[in-house]
Amino acid sequence: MGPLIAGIALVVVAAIALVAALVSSRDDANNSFGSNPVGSPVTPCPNLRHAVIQIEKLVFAGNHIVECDTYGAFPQPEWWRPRATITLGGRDILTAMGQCPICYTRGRPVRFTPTFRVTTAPTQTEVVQVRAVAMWGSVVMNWQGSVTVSPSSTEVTASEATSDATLPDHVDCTDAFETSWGMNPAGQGWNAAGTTRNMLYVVLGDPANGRPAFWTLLDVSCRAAAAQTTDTGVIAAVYGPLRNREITRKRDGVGLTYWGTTPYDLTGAMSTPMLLRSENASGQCGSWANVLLDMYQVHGITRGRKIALARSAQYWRGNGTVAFLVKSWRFNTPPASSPSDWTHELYRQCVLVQKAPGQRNTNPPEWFWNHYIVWIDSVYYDPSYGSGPFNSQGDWENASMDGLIDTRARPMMGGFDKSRTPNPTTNLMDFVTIAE
Amino acid sequence: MRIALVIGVCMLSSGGWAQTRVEDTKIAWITVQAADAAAVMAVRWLGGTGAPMLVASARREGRGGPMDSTLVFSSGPALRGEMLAAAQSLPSQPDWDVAVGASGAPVFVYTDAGGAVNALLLQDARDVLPVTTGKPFESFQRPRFVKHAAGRPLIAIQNEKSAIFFMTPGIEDGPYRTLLDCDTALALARVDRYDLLYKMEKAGPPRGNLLAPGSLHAVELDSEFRTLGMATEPLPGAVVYQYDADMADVGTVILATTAIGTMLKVGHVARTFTELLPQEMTSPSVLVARGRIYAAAIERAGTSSARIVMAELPL
Repeated sequence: MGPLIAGIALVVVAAIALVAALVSSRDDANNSFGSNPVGSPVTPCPNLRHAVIQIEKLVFAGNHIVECDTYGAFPQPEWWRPRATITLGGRDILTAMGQCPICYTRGRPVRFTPTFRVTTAPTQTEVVQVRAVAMWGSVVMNWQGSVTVSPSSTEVTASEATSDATLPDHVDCTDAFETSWGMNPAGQGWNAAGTTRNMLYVVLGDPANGRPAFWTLLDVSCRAAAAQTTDTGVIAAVYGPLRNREITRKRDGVGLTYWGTTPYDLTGAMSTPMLLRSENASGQCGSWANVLLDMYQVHGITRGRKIALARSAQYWRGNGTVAFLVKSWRFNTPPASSPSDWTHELYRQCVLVQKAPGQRNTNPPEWFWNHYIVWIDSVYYDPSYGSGPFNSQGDWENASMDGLIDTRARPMMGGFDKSRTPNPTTNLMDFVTIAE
Repeated sequence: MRIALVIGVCMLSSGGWAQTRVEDTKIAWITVQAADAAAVMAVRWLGGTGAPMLVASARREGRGGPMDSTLVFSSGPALRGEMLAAAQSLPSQPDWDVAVGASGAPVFVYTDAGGAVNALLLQDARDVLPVTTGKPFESFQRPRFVKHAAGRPLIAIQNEKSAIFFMTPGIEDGPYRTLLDCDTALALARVDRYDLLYKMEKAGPPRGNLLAPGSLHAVELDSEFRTLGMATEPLPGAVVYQYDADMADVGTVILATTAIGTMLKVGHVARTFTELLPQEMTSPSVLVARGRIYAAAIERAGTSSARIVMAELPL
């Protein structure tokens, strides 16, 4: 009897031990292979280690090159973790966190190729799933992919990934397009793998005519035209910053001016690239007309035209002899009756009252021989002064000029008070469309 | 891969223009005594039958306020001798060139700013003639006379885009030809063709306020301005800001301000200058005359410490 009882007791103990061992084994399994919070200190096997990776760089695809205001195209990778500043042309560029601005056409998916830094190498080669998520307003954009990480890997690159949702179908921009990355090594569960941030501009259409998308033009136009979905909406909205006369060059934060130098002869920029490149950031009307036209072209709008105006195209000889007075002048004696009657001595009988302010400058020259403005959709804009739109040549003349001067005479003589009835009904200038 | 790329570049640039050997010996600049070096905007050598003459341009403000401005050309001892004073439509820093006219007297071409459009004017001691009457409302910059050409043809850049060859400047509605898109251009006339040097703009900061960096190219044109062969780079890899050129028996002579200093290339040999401030040189001018090379430039133009420099070397 005694040996029998002892035998039964032994079986019971063994059974209890087996059950206990099984329970213990199941707990280990739960701890090791479940979905763990970040940093769970569970090691299933002392000899098995899984990969840990962090986002290192991003190369975007399907986007438009952003030109750093004549200092060159922003480089790839557009996001690179260790980069603190971007240097182009030997100079540091003012960018957020040293990362590059990105530009896409509206309604497109965002594509990129991510590269990861291996911070912990696995004990054996394994596949690590990667994913990213970004928010743009109410739109959630997701990317997925995988990388294979070996024990000797230091950096791994996934295939190009495309977002499952598209960018908004309107013009927009954000200072920080933030993408949060996750990684899942060998199905062990998702952990954070870093965050990337880039400025992102969304344009209405693909930039046209091979013109580079200068950073300043993108920034000014995308902020001004945010939420616009049509050509006409963009055309109207991008003029807002010019009307405010507060355009700032992005690469260095310097304000751009219209004839903003003393003396005037230091203002030499006559095109968008010249204005963006110039050290003194001061441009003539040609550069400001081009800034507006090039802002349209950044959004794929090509129907704008540059208009040259002067007293006479027919008798063009050099710069001619007749210049026009930019507002505001006062004719002190009874006005001339025709454009060719030079009846008022300049500065004495025809007095400068107040200068029309130009871009970031309240003191531009008071007369010119010729001038550039912009025509689009049957209206005129004068971006040098931020004035307009004007429905007709006459509207521009009456709002912008006060008469003519004969530059041959000494002293110089003026005439034809533009504001005096019936003179506003007479157009004094020739408007000529310049072929681009 | 990198080696293959280098070999490829060497093969592409193996034309006569591009064979360059850089000698280490440097050329010393000599300071030109000038009455007011700070006011000088640009310099050019003027050849002719006499000794080479250095011509300088400056802007003089008048009594009529900030809009009253005159462009003054001077030469001679201390660059005091006034050759020409041209009233400007608007204050500007005009581009210009000078050559010997048919009468042996100097003739100038310069830009006249109108606010939007830069006209091109031809002026000698007797008259001022517009160059661009056939192209009203087109704006021109950087005019250069074609060197050694009969008559006084010139090239200027239209609307910051294309080089235009004016065959008979000063003749109303005279003929012209569009050559190519570039930033600046200069032609040297030979018996039956032209050597055309031109700069293509590159990305990067300017020298001074507005001088764009670029690469210098050269191509031959026949008498009808058709290109003969492929363009080459006379200064391969150099970031060029401004340049001038002339012809010598040993080949083309090029003086260029570059990112690494001023370079003089004679035939296939390039040499650099001893320069304290190689990043601040502008307005290079070169002339071949009397078996010698005359070079000049400005250091720190427009500043109170501006210096006009020259060098004279045997060919």
